[in-house]
Amino acid sequence: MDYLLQDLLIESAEKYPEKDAVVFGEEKVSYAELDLLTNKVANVLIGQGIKRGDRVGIYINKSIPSIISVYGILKAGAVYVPLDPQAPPSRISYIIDNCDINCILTSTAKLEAIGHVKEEAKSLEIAIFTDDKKEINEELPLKSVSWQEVLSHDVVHLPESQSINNDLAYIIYTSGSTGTPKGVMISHLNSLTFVNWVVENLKVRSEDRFSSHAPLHFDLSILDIYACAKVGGTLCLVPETLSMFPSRLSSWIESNRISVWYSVPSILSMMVTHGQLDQRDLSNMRLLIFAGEVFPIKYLRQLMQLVPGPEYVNLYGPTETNVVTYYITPSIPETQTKPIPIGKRCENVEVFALTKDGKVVTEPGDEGELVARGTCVAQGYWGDEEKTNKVFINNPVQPNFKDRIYKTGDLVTLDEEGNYLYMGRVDHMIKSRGYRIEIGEIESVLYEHQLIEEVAVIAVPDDLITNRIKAIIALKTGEEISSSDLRMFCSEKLPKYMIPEVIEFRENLPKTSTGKVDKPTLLKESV
Amino acid sequence: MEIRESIKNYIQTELVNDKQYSNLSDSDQLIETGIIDSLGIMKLIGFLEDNLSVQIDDTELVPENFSTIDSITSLVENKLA
Repeated sequence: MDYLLQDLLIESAEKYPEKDAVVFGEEKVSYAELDLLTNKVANVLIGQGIKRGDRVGIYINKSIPSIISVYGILKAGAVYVPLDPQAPPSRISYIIDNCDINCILTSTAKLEAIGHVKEEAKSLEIAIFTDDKKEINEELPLKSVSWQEVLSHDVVHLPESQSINNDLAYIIYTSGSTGTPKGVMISHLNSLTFVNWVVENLKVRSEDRFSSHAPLHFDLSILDIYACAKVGGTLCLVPETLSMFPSRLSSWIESNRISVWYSVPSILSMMVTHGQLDQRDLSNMRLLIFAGEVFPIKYLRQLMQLVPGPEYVNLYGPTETNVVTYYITPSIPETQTKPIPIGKRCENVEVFALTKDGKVVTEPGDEGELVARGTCVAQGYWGDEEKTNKVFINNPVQPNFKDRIYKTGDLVTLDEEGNYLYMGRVDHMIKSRGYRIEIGEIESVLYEHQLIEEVAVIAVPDDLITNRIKAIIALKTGEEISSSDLRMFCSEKLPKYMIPEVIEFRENLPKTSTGKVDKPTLLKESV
Repeated sequence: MEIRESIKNYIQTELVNDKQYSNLSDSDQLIETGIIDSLGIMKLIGFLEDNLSVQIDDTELVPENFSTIDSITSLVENKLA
């Protein structure tokens, strides 16, 4: 019975032991090898005192060891917490302390950063290294376990699992409006609800070669890793720097014979504009899936003309529910300018939109906030009951028994065919390159700077990456600082995708009649 | 301004967000260190095209041409020659 995410790997390892499970450049690992290695990691973790439900961090760039870490942690009955390898150490320390991580799996490339992380992360005590490329510094203020020690572990069988599918599988941190990120708790059941839907409805199969583009701390990675493992396909990890070079990326897709691609639209748009797609043979491509932001219709149309074979699928859903609606894109007429819908509900998920006065939207054109109900709905935010209770609420349409739903914060309407159309947000969250960004988090970091009197962060709409972040700043009288120094200040607290791209200085910020910063005016002036 | 200086100045002031790279040398790795990322490279191309009057072809948009200030300078100089 596969009711835990790791069961997907265990079962495929029995069926396809010799088959390539994960490929990364010249390196690869078969299903049998992956199963064995992850058993060793799990036993090492258990040996280090990790118990069912403990949180274990993964602090490694996307690579075969990162996938080994994922399954090793799950097999130990623990919960994995992907840490953005590019995020500043202070943010990593915050997450480690927030969900009380005692042990991380990491690589020797991160040795220096781990030293900085440990300065603030009190709960962190153990680092397990997944490579032997550099000597581990004896002065590292942590107990370290080398990869050699993991490989030489002779217990290869797992102790009997006590886990059930309501247990947490992973926690993904997303931007929080009050200045610190919040950890979305996902159970095995939550995740498998989506994974099983993908396998059944998008008809992926063992011959498929999946791209794995999104980093682990971005929940797009769930589809690639687990749908692939469930069917015994091959997971091809996209080298991170390839995203910068669209023509190399398109040739990578060709040479890796990718049949299932999944990413944010901005990567695909860049391949349309710079990827020389007309010169590539992408005839292996069967499914081209995208999510995370609105796909600009002109690039989607061009992509469908340049790569005519695959089915184009738009998935929609916040991290808190994984995916709840989908839309299979028919050909797009030249005259169409409006974006494609986010579509209809996935099987075994209920979605509906609630108007401001609490009525369910039933008519095309009426607008409301989309809510989701079902086993896809996350367990809430780690250690934050207040934020959890704001958005994970009891179903107002069905008050007779306890029935949790998630309010997405996304405004939608219906079209004539019953598809949902995305209209915008009810709050100040924005998207850029598929990442969720709370404007308030950036503003609170900037307000910590002692020379800043006032700040307004706005999202300037962009064709390619949805939004570009701009900060408009009024400094205290007589003070001076360069925008480059301010960006450096931000980089100590914020991940790269949240650092304002443009910083503009003004004497003071325009105000509305109620004394608030007039953001609509600032936005008008910036477009 | 000399081409090299102009490129260096742009990268230093617009793309570097990390104190440890506040004094870049011409041979420092820009891609491995994450100084140039997917958004950064598009900004840099915009800068080269608008300010140094070169057109970067899709075939030139490869890691070899953008790995260091040296390599970006050679790319631009060869195109202008």
